Amino acid sequence: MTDTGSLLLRWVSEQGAGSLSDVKQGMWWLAAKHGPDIEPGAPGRWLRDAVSLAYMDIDWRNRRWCAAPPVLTRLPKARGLAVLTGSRTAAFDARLARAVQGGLLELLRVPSDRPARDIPLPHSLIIQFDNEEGLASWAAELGAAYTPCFALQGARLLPPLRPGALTSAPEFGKPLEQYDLDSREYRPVPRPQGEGLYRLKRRDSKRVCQVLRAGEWHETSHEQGVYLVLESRGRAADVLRWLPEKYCGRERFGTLYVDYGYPLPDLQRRVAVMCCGLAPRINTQAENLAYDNVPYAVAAKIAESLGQHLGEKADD
Amino acid sequence: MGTAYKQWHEVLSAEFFGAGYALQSTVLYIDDEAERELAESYSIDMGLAQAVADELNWTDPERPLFSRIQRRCEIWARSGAMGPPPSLPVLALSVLAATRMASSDGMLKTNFYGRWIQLFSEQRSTFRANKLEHAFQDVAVMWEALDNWLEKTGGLYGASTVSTDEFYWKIGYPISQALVRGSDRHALTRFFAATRLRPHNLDDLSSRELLRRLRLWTTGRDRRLSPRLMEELAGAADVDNTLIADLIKRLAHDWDGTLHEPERERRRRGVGLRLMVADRGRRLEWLAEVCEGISETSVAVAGGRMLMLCEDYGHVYRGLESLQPSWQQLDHGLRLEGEDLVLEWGPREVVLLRMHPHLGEWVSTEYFEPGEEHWILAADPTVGAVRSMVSALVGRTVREAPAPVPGWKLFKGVRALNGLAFARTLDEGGEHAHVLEPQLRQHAVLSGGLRIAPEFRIGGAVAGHFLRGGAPDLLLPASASPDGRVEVVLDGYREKLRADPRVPFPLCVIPLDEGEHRVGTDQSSQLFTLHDGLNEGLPPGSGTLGYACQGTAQPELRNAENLEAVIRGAEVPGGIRLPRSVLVRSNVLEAVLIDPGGGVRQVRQQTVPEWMVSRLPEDACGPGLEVDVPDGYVWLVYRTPTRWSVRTLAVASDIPVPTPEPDDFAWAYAVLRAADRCRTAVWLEYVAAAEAIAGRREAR
Repeated sequence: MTDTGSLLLRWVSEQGAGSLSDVKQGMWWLAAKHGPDIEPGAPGRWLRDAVSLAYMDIDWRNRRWCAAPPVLTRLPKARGLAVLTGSRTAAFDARLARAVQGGLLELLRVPSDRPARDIPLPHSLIIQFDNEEGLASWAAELGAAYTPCFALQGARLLPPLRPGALTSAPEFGKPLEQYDLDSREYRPVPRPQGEGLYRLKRRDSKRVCQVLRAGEWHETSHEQGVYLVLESRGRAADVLRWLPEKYCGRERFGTLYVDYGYPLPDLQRRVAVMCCGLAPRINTQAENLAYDNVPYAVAAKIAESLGQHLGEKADD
Repeated sequence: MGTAYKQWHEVLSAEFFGAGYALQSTVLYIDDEAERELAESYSIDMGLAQAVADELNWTDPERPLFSRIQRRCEIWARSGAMGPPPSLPVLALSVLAATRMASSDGMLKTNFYGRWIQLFSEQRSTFRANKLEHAFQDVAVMWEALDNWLEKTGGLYGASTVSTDEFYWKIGYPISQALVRGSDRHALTRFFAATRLRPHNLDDLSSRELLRRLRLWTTGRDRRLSPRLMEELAGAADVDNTLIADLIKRLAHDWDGTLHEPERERRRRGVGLRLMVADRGRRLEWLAEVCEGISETSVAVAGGRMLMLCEDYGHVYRGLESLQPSWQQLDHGLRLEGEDLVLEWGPREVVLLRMHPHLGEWVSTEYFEPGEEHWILAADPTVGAVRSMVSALVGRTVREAPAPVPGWKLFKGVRALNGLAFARTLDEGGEHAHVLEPQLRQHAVLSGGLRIAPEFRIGGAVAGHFLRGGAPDLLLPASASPDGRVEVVLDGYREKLRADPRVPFPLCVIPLDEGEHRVGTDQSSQLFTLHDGLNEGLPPGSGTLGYACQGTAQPELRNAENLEAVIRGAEVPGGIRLPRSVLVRSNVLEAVLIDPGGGVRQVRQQTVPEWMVSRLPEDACGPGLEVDVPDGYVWLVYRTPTRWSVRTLAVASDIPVPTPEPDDFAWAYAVLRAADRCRTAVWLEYVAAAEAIAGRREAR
């Protein structure tokens, strides 16, 4: 195994679980070996993609992670393609290699393009199938769980947007930052400047986000916080856009565009990514992420769960 | 033994090995000034040299020159070695000789014996001078006895700093005591604090590393170290076993973390302040690591306000945030003093920073780690030199940004991935090249790597278990060879592999098998293991986090082990019904779905989606039709370029008998297209029904 992404996935898979700082340290060490252009934020971005691709689950607030169980799941309306995701230990890879050699599976290893500043992702394992029953039995033979179609099932389970638990106001005199939706960055403020998303340093040195709504402070994540603030601004603040495919018979499938600065929460991102089994495309010029093969129904569920109304044009 | 000798013994015992020195480094430092002060304060009429000279045996040629004192020492040893040895005045006199070593009186500064003979008022090259020189071997033995006694008494009378080197082993003993004066020891405790040495050198910094840091600490600043020590520092060879290196290491080993302040009843702890660049370079803060045993205390700026400190996450003090680092503090230094603690920042023009593992911010550090990313905070006058130095590392372009303090600049992304360029930059030197100096080690150490099964490491002889492909870097001990390189030994093979110990040796580039490997040098090595994997099933901990589901998922992850309905990775709870779909992996030209009641549903053609064409291999974009099957439809009839086919969409026993209306001609037409493509009984029933409809139509 030579590629960086696959080695990292095997590493987290073999560990099972751990602390975020340890895994970032290892990733940074390996990345420095293979890419001189890797930037300091690269481990964080790799981990977010790994969550999206359902390799891991990460509890960011408590700085812990675990490898996700291996799962075989269909991609929606993808001409008989499924993706094999989750933990990829050496033993699992060996079983998979035997299955491919024995002709049981037709496996495609598909890379997700990432810029040179990022750590490469593992290749997605795309499997071609002829019938769903066969797919379920392959999953069993590999020791993986079978989820008929995560994208469709996960979309139905997306939680509605709501502020987290009530919490105390930021300590007076301590550094405080407010998220500026226009510049898409946090800016230092001397004190809370009305409703909005704020970031502060907790006693354990971890940066946490809190949202001020209706005079009350709530715990939140950065992603949820951004959409909570957007929700309070009404239709004018809708930021998600979905563009249908142009070709015959696939009008209800398309691409979901999410601009930089409005990242989807983990679960919504995973639902969007598992529509094609590949990490979102990065449109550097347009400053957005593009999630391919997203059925309109799934995009609408994602939007609904974030208090958004779905725009149907990329340039809306 | 004469009265004066006894007096000197008592005085020296009290002054250098008294109760106040228990568990602390003690140095038997006697120079002319110290001798005079002691003689005056204890009213000793006779000088030290004369007191010792009176004990010498010049009369009995059968016995050694120091036979009287040796005899006393034997008795002292036999009777339990209570108190300091009787040889103390002799030893002190030898230190006095060492403190007089200087280029004067026709003697070189390296001439110890000249000064030793001079103390006894003897002429050089005479019989008595030669005898004194030869008898020094016995004095060396006395030094060793003192060292052993201090060791055996477990620090009760002080911790020994008696040292020597191999070449000048006899005269090395007194020289070791003459190098460091009492005032030097005071200053050295400040150095140890400033360099954030852990008490008793728990991190086992090598003597060369300590010397390197001491040189840096003293560069361009008057640290109030004696000229003798400074001279020795400047002239010491860059190897481990020099006298000064041994001595500094010994002092570091004995250092208990306190500042040497005899004037204070309470001995204060000292810690070097760190500088933290927070918020991606937008904010500057002072940072101090917690002193063991002091979780809460207060310190004050000289003539200023009090700061309350208490232990916080990451083993640092909270309470310094309000003390905004200013350019004046950076330029002139900062000293915060309290009753228990002194925090100090020594001024410097170039500050090296590394990511703090717990705080996630850039924090000043003492040495460079090649391979890791660093930032450099540089004062404006140094910017040009720093810029050319970091560009010589030949890595990714370093980003320059304004620092959050006027008159300083930040260099971000400083890394040394190219070992050759890094070594060349160090060799070329330069005013600020010292910030790129990696730590000098005395043992081989493994660093980085992709560790697995960390729980197996505890208490074992193995330095770590690593994933194959993620073997760690080897950090080599400093070299004493002329070319500065170290011979690497891997699994017993040396293969003439010599490496620069300043550059981490990447073991991951060597194809190694699974199993144990020993790597290092002849003197120091580490054992580690490599594995492709350790788990046949899922490793413990996998899948322990998930989104609990009650109707919908919870937005936050939680422990999933006892949850029934949970999303873990791409695993979802059962019970969500999806539309059934069927796949035909052929070039389908047309297709229809058929139900038992005469219903026919056209299936629309689909082109290969653009995302598949652009992102997937060609193999994945072959012909195919995926059809969503609404409830009730039981057959799919489709046409490929060569023939019609039919596919069942349900288990045969679940397919109802056909019940078309007599005028369901489209239904019949669709069935008859594939009439002979299936021989199951239930299909034949459908064919018969279709034929019946078709027959009626023909009849009409």
